[in-house]
Amino acid sequence: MTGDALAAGFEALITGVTVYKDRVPDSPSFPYVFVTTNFPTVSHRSAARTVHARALRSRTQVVGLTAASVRIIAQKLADALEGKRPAVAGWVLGSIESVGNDQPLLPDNDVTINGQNPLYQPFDWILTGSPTT
Amino acid sequence: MSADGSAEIRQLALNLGRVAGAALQDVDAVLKKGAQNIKNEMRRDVSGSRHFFGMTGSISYDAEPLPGRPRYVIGPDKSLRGGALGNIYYFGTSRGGGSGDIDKPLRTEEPRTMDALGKLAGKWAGQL
Repeated sequence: MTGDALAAGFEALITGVTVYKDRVPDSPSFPYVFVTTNFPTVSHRSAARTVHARALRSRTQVVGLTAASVRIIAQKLADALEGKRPAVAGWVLGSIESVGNDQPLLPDNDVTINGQNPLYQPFDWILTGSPTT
Repeated sequence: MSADGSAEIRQLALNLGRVAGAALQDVDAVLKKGAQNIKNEMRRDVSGSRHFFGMTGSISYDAEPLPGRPRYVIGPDKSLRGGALGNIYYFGTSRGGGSGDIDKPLRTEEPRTMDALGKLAGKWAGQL
């Protein structure tokens, strides 16, 4: 029922694409998804202040060398996460939901690969659950 | 009291009209105060950042009302000094980052604004 197990269960759903966690290597393989996931914070308490639910929040940066590749990977990501309900021991979980952030697909002007800037778009997600113990 | 209640209904309709006329201004005042509080917290948060404190002054809010609907837009203004860093501060780059929590000030303010709107509803009910 640890927060780490919950994060791992969430991240394990992202398959079929190159995924980096914690840090992006100096020479990444494009396209890729960079995943960061928090420790699930308390989102709901009872009147007696007991923790009833925690929210796991994740940001996924979808990065590619073309806008089309970003969109293709973003589609795979959405298919893998939106509405899915991971099974993690010790947790009763809801469904994963995307959180709108209004961010466009942008070039990363601080990175140059073969004379071009990679493109990226962040996607935010939330998963709410209750520990069973 | 009239025998058929029609006078009371007319009075209620009149009061509803008065309340509705003032409601928009009342709600706008509450939302404006909330926008101010959110802006202040966003500024406080970024002013503590070693790399992004230079964008502190770019965080502002603007009234962007729609017909019959008060609305405020809050955040870094790209036309102001440091405002262009807002995307990177809140949403990172292709290599991560995005240390700023854009939702935190909203989470802080939400209960205060909801409480104020609840009090407004109580006030309106008393005027009918």
